Amino acid sequence: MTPMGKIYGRTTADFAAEAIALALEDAGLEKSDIDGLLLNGNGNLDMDPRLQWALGFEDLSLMSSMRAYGSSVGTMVQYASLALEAGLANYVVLVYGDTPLKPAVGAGAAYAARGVWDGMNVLKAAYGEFGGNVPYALAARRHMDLFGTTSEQLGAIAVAQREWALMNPLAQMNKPMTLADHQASRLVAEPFHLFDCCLVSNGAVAVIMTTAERAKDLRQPPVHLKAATQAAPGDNQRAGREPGIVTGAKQAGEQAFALAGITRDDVDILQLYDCYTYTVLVTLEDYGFCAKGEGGAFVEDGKLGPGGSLPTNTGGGQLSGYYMWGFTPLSETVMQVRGQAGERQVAKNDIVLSSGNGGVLNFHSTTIWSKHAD
Amino acid sequence: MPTESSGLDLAYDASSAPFFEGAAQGRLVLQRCGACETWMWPVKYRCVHCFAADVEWRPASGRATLYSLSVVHQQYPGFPHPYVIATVETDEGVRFNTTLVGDDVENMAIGSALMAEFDADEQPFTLPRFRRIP
Ligand SMILES: [Zn+2]
Repeated sequence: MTPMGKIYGRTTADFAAEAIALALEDAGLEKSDIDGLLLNGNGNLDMDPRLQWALGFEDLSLMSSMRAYGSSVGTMVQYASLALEAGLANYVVLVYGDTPLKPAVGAGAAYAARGVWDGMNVLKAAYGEFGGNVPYALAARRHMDLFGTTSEQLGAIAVAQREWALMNPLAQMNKPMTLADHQASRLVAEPFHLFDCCLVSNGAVAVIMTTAERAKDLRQPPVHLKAATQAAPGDNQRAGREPGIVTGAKQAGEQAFALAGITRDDVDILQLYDCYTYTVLVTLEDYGFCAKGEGGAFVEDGKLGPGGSLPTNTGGGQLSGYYMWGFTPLSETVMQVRGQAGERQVAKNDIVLSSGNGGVLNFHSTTIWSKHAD
Repeated sequence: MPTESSGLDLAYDASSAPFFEGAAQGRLVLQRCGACETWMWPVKYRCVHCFAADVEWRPASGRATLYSLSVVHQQYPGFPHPYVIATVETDEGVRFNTTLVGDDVENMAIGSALMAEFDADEQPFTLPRFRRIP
């Protein structure tokens, strides 16, 4: 992965090329070994299929720009694994790149200005529903009303992740944060304070997937994929369903645990997609780490932080680390399973679960990884 | 609705025109399946339930219940500061995001009974807003 954050004057393609070069070096592979390329970006035109040409890859047998919003990472892993198993490709590069930050443009403005207001979407502009803050805030507020969840409980997630970030040299946020700091941070869209919201980053991450047999000859310890599932529950905006309360994580999680042949008790480390603190809370519930509605009480004792019983988002996540969509949890997953996370390395790292989420708690992907082949 | 200074070029297209034309006439117009009578949030081309093509635009009751709300503190050109976005569920069972009018809407209780209201003079087009009713 490239450096992350307020790095200006470089294109997304430039970042993507650097991330791929770093991944090749890390794995001990040559560009000519690569025969699969899967691309993902946050609506960024640079992550178009034509990026292949800009990167100079030739004779690929698997190539696509993939879009399932923040869940794309798991769908890319899933498709790559199926292609590898079927013998359709040998070495597949998955890459995410984005450059939303420009000098003197705030993050909210950087994304808000991207909207296309067709059909009923014109209502979003007319009412002032820009970007993800409002729809996620509406889901969080609903959860609070149903279950008594508090802003302080959401804050406990942000504080735990900041503690992790302080041990991550790649993280953008490197100052300590207390619960009081969280509560004092400015309101963005109630119930969210600024510190309930993810960062925005310029940068790119690349991950190379291959078969277990081929991985034996590579430079790094293998990270074995045990399950890759996705769920897209949809939302017909009809009464009787609560799409912000029960998310795609429920279905994708149940399927992933079954495919991997494990239970949630076997999971040592969680890397959960965290566009907002609430996303972590609702995902924990939907994966069954606590009962529906009990997420607030579950997280408030700090069990997600360093030294806690359920290490979660150990690189600081997207709240305090870097915002590379699902490649933030996936990149930290790889480092933890390999035992290369430095000061923040979790001692028991046999099984790591990584999630992706997008379309406002709708598109979801779950991947389960192990340091053991069996 | 933001003022011109927001720099947003707001217009509705043909696919959603009945919703906005209804609003201009003071009615909340949604879509309903002629075959199974399921009400839908537009724009749908077939029924979300039975997939019949018989989807028609119909005036709804305008009655709704507050499902969730957020007080937005980010500042955007042309918007008041702060402003409210609310999710409502109509009596017909259709859920969507809108805004609220009246006193102290920031503190309105989830579950409050609401009625749609419309300002025919609003520019560039009329939006439904919801007011608490007893
Ligand atoms: Zn129908």
